[in-house]
Formats: sequence, structure tokens, C-alpha cells
Amino acid sequence: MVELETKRLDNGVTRLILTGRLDLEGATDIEHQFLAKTSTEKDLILVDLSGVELIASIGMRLLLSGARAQKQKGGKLVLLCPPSRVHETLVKSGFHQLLTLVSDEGGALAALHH
Amino acid sequence: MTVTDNQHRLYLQREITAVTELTPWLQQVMDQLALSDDLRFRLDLVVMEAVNNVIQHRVAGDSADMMVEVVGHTDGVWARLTYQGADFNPWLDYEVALPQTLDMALAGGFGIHLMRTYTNGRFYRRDDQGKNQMVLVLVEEGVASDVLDRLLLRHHRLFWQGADEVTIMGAVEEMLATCEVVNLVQGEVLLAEGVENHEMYLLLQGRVEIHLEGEEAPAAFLLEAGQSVGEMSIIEGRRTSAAVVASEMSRLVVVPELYFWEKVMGVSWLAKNMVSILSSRMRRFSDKMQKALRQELAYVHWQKELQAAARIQTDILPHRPPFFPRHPEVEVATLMLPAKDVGGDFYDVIVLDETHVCVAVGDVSGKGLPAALFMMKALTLLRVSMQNPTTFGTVLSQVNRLLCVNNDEMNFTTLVVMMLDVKRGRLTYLSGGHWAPLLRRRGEGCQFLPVPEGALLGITPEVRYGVATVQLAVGDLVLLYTDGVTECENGKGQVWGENGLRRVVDGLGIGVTSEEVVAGVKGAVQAFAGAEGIDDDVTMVALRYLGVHDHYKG
Repeated sequence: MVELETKRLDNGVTRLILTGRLDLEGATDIEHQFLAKTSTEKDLILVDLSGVELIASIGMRLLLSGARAQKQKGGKLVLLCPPSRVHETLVKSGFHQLLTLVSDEGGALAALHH
Repeated sequence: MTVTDNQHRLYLQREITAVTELTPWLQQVMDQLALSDDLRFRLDLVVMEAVNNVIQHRVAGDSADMMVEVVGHTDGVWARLTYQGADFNPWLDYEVALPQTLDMALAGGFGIHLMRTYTNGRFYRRDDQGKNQMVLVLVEEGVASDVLDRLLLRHHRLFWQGADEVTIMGAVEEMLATCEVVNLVQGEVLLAEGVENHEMYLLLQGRVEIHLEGEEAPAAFLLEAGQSVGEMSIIEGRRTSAAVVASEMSRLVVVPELYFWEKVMGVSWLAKNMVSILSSRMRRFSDKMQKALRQELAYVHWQKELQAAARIQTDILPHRPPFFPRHPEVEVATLMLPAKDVGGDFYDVIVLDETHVCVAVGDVSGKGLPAALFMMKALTLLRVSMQNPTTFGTVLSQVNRLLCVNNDEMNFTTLVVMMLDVKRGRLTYLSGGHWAPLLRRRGEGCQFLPVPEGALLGITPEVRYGVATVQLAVGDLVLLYTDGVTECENGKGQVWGENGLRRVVDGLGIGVTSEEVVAGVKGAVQAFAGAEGIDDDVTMVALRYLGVHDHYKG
């Protein structure tokens, strides 16, 4: 099970907080909701993965879809993921080379406003 | 070691909705097995990816059932998925390269990558009934290598079925207590071809390439973890028939010949698995061989057809002198040296009446059968069109018009035709985009004849062809040739050229015959081309005017 919470920050950033397991079931459950928030219009999006316990390939593809949509629209999507097994999974899959992956909030906001 | 208590099974449908059952079941199994956090995390992830993979690769007609098993061991665990259906080996058929850019990333490949990253061993098997098994082996980080070897060897094809779990594990441990386990780095040669071999190697991790034509030749096929090599040379008592090279980091159990006969072939269930390894390999190999053999036979057949076509092509061209036995005023020699297969060069020698004879040389665009067929068409139309001397001036425009009809492939040909009035020595000629004929007047140097207006035949029907004439004296010689002569290249990429041709003909003696000119130029071209050989057809027709006083001997 996974949950998706949206927070609009003062500095024009949308913070999407994911918690739980971003596995086959979880990613399928929130797919439409996540893509609606990340792919419909240009935005500055911080995807907070601090509360994610596990990420499977299908969850990775979901994050990539959102990041690519923002790139095409001229917006930005960064991943906030503190050191953890999930962070390790993302790094082992080369995510740090594909999109912005930062381990703390300050870094994430700096990357968005860069 | 007890294993039966730790064996867990779940039956699932091969549908995406079935995964809701997977996670709760797996969590419960992992609780019971009391796995470490690390092992839990990895097993959770890779089992889910494996199930997803099996679901995604279900094709129409596949059975909807699948079984997931998880078996715990000391410091390790393995998971096995069993399902019916299409053959898909994720460890052999699928090369995983991680995407380098965001745009490429959505193509996927992460699932197999994660399974490779988070497992210590992976196997795939398929039996004769279309039953597939995918196996994932995981051990605790930092455990001794023999723990992993035990779990890996248990899933080798040699041990995969035929006895209960306790018996299988007993046989695995006995083998590992006796036999050495070795690592190979990428590119390392395990076995050379044609050497004595007294060991069988069981592949636990990695992949090896089998090279049938020596280590340098391309690999004939790959063998992945779960396969074996070397057993054939033990069974047959012969030297190895292939070279084996590690194509990635690999780990293997080395089974000595004696152990092989006593403890493998001497135990019925193991011997049965051994035979099954061999037969499935034979099948894989023989499929490949059959395909190669079919292609080879088709190729040989095609070569024969081409050779027959080349023979027909050269047979249709006049090649038995004398060409004009009733016209002693003229002496003609011809040569066609095909470069390879079927070419597009052609020539002709035709008698029109008592006073007129014709010679022609042409070069069709392209190579092979299409060129040969177009050449036949051009030659036939030329023969039909050259019926009498009075219409000779229109022969190329007529051939050109006819060649343009239905020429969708846009083939074309160059063509030069000459008519000699043997009584008067008057030579009339037309040219369609062909090289200038070479004239050697008796006792003088060579010159290239002016080329009248004209163009390649077969493309535009409206082309006008001009007519040129030249008066020949007794002993004068004209040479028609194709670009295989003048554009001949040597090994250094130098071109022989018109000057090369002119020099050679100039260098021949005054009373040289047509035959000698053709032979001289042929020899010079071949000498120039050197060991490389000629790369285009070499075609020549030489015509020497001997005059009305017969038996001119120079």
C-alpha cells in the first residue's frame, strides 16, 4: 500500500509525499493520481520518498514518467530520498544519472530553483 | 540441515491483479524464516520483479497458473517460480544495459536489472512439456562462499529434480566436499579446442561462450549458469571439440572424470538429469545446425544456378573464331573475362550481308542476375534491330526505345556498334555512352576515335544518336573494350587508365593480329591488377582490316 499527499509550498514548489511500498500494487494504485499531478502542467515538483519502504521497477518508471513530462514542459522534478535501501536501489539503477536525486530538503529546493 | 520445514508455496494466477496476494504471503513467509532485514528487503523486491516478469511475458495460449516457492536455508534462501508457456530465458536472451538518458529510460529493463543486482545466483530451465522454472538464490551478505555454492549447485540442472529435497542436498554437499570450485574472469579460456580433458565443469554463476572454430572465431552459442561443459570429451574419451571462454565473471564446480562416472553417472536420478542436460543442449545445438545447414544448402543451390546462368550468358556470345569465314577482308578476335559470378558486359559479331559485318560491345549497369537478364534483352534487341546496312544509322535509337519499355528497374547499358564495309574499308559507328574505340593505324601510334552524339540506352526514349565514319586502310586495327579494361585497379588503388591501354597497344609490333592485341591487353591488365585479380568484367573486340587482297600477312 502506498499513499500520496500533496503540499503546496510558499516558494512555488509542489511537494508530493509518497509513503509505503512503491511496488507493483502500490505503483498501480497511485499511477493516475501521480501522473495527473506531475504530467499535466509545468511545475516545480519535489517528490519526497523519505517514507517509501521499497521501490520496484514499476515504481521507478512512474517517477521517470513524471520527470520526463516536466522536462518536456520546461518544469522540474527532483527526488528527495535520504540514505536508505530505497536510495541504494535508485543509485544501483543509475537514477542519479537520469534525474536529480538529493538526500535532504535544502538540496532539493536548491536544485528546483537553480 | 533440515529443509522441508522451511518450504513454502503459493499458487497464483498469471495476472496483474494476483499480486495483491503475493506481498502478504511473502511477508508471512519471511517472518517464519526469520530472515535478516537485508535479505528480507532483497527477497521482497526480486520475487515481486520475477512474478511481474512472468506475468508480463505471458502470451496467448499460455496456462494462467503459476507457483511461487520460497525455501529457507541457513544464511540463505531461494525462490522458484514455476509456470507453463512460452520460452523466455531472462538470464540468457536478454542483455540489460541501463539507460543513459531520461528519454531512453522509459523503455524499461529495470526489473531484470534489479533481479541481477539483488540476487547471488539465477537460473532458468524449461522442460520438454513447456514447463518453465525461474530460480533466484540469495544469501546473507558476507557469508562464506560454500554457503552460496551449496544453494547454487542445488539449482544446477544436474540436481534440479529426481529426488526429494534432503537427498538432493545430500548429493550437493557430497560433491562440494570433494570437488573444487573455481572462478573465471571475463575472457578467460576454460578449455581450448583439441586438448585432452578429464573434467566436467558445472556453471554456477556467469556465462561461457562455446567457440567451434577456435577461440578467435565468433561464439557459436552461450551457456548460462545451470549448464555444464566438458562432459562430452569425458564420455567419448576424445579431445575437446570446442573452445570454452568465460564471457563474464563465472564460477564453476570442477568434477573429475572418476567422480563423474561413479557419483554422477552411477546414481540413477543424477544420470537421468545428466542425460536431460545433454539432450536439451543437443536440441538447442541441432536447431542451430539445421538452420545453418538449410542456409548452406540454399546457398550452394543458388551458386549452381548462378554458374549455370553465367555459362548461358557466355554461350550466347559468339566465341568460336573465325567469326567471319566468308569475309576474309576482316579479322576479329574477342575476349570476355568475367570478374565474378554473372556480369553485365556483352559483345556481338554479326554478318549483315556479303559486304557488311558488325561488331558491338556493351556494358550493363549493376551486377548479378538482374544485369545478366537486362544484358540478354539488350543483346536480343540489338540482333533483331541490325538486319540490314541501310537502317544501321537508326539501330541505337531503335534498341534504346525498346529497352525503355517497361524498364521500371531503370537498368541501362552502354553500347557501341560498328559496321564495316569490307570491300571499301569504310567503318561506320554509333555510340551510346560507351568509351571511345581505339584506332591503331598500321605503322602509327594509337588514337581514340571521336565519339558521336548519344547517351546510355534504356533511360530516355527520345535520345538521338549521331553516326560517325572513318576510313580504314589495310592493316588498321580497331579495339572496342569495356571499363573493366581502362578502370582496372591495382592493389594500391591506382587506375590503369586509357593511357595504360594506349601504351600497351602502341608497344605491340607492326604486323600484330587482332588475336595478339586482345591477348596482349589481357595480359597487361592482369599483370597490373596483380594478386588482387580483376574486379570488373574485362571485355574486348578487336577488328583488323585486311583489305580485299586476301591473305594479308602484314
